[in-house]
Amino acid sequence: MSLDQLIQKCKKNDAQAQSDLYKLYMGKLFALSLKYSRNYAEAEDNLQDAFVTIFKKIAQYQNKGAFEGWLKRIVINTALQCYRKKGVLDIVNEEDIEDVIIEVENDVVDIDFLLNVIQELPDRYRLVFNLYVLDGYSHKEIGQMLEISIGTSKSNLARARMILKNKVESYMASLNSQSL
Amino acid sequence: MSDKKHIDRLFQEKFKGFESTPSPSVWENISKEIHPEKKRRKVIPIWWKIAGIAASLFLLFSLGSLFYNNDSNPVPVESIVSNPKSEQTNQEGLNQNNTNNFDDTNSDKTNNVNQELKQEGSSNPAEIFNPFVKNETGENSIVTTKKEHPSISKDNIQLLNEKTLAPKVGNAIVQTTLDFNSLKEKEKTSNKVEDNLDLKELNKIDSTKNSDIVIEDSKKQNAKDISQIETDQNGKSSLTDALATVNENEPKKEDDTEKNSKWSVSPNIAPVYFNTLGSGSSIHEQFNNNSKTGEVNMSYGVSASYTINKKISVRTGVHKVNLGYSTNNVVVYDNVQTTSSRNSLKNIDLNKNGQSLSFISAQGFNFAQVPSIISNLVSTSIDQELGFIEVPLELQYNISNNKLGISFIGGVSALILSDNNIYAVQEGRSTLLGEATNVNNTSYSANLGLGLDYKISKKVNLNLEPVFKYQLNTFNNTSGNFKPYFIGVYTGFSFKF
Repeated sequence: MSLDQLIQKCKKNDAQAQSDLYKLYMGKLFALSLKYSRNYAEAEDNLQDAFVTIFKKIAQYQNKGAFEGWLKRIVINTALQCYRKKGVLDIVNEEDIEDVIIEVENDVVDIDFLLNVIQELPDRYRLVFNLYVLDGYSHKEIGQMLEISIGTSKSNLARARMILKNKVESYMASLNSQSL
Repeated sequence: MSDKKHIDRLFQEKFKGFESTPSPSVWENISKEIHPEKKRRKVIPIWWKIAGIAASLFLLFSLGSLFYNNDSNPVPVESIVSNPKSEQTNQEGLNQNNTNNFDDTNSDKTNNVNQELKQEGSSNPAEIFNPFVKNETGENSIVTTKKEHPSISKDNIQLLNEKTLAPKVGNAIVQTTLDFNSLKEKEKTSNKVEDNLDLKELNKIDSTKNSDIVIEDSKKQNAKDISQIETDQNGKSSLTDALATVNENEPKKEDDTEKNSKWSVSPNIAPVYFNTLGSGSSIHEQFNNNSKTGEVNMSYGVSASYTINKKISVRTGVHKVNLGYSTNNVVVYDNVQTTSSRNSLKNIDLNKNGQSLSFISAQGFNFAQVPSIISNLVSTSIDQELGFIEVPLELQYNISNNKLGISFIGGVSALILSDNNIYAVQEGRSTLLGEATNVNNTSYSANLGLGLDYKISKKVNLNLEPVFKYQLNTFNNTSGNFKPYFIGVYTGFSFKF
């Protein structure tokens, strides 16, 4: 069955098609959800809410643009909504920080560790870092999505990078000391 | 492999193609939310069922008492028939005026009022005029109709009317108990009320519609009150009117609800098996321990069902049901020597055939000691045949509403005795002995059953309903532990409309 057919069936509220669609995208979308959440449980809740929205609104999907992109936007929006509701407003020091260069041994860095450090970031830093670095949104878009200024977005990103750099460096230092 | 790179690149490279599997519970939750109707099972509160059963019991018993009242006063039955006929012409004349102004439903309602008006008017040709009562009720009705305005809700109007009518009714009762003449006055005044309304009807269609209903109801109430008072005084002509009003109102009420509802009618037929749970006898205590064989008979009738909501429907109907059972191992012999006054079957009124016979239970006979002439007759049995008109009132609770529906059925039936015979059956020959004296004319049964219906089309269902009916007070003087019941498998088609 082609993706189009699957989408058509989902629009008719076909339970089997919905299950198939879920299985097709749950891996990617859960990974996405994980990055935007504080922890595993929150990521699952977010994914659940996102899929409910997806199946309720799939009739509105007009086959314009990539379907996967549409799905991702819903997952991200669902995640952001959660923080908008909570009114996450970190106190932001709007200073410019230079680009952060890090020295890494590429192979040894574990993905679970990276995910963990992202999840440990303060909410706004995490969101901005994800949106800008991993999902390719511009500062302007981020500003609109999070209802913050472009400057704030940039500043948040810089802070996020600093925190991540420090954590990755100390992680590698501990790895090196173990291997020595 | 040390490498200098931007922190962004590190994350971008690592997270490229990153996937993770959520726990299965996530999909379960999603599926519950997007298809809620499949998972959600509505549990009906227990009090609902209890209330339903209580309500149906109450209704049935009140219906039953009505039957008793009718039995004691056979005269009103005739007048019910005669009264409407005599008024037919008057009514039509009036109706023609009204129907010109009103739509169908409206004219129906005004008919009711007019009919009653005429009834009462015709039965009381010479009324004594009581200005006090007239004044009060007249004023009330004027006040109400004046207050009626299209913008006032139906409820408000009814409330208003009830309030104003209540004292009137109260007044009437007091007066009738004090003075019999004032009864007629009251009727007269209620005519007046309706006269007023008739005038208003011509002007205000909507508002009169409402007040008609209320007036009708209150009239019904009045009529009942009157009938009660008058029964004590041993019936005058107005009693017949009052009862006629009551009886005419009841079917009309049903008609009204029928119009806007989900009714269905189902003719059905059922093989019914009658037997007793205990070891007693309905005929005589000597047969308590005799073996009894239930008979399979037929029941047939029509039932009407009203759907209250998806799950619950109420139904009633009329069924003819024949029941019978045999008491085995009875010795019957001609009572040659003496015309004994002792009746060997205490609950049976024997006819000529039966009076010359004696009946002994052969249960526990020692055949060696019994003359052969008696032991040869052992194969006799006594068959009791009863016919009833059954009026059930049952609640049906649907468990499954698919193509094949499943439901629980619970309720009560009123059983009105129509046939009552006792036969002696000996080697295939049956002789009518007489009739049982201990069968109540009206009795009740508690019903419990399972309903299966197959939906042939939207309008037509095929029903199969095994129902167990435990008879509560069919016999009034049984011996031993005689607990009769019958089981019927009711089969039929139901037609929705």
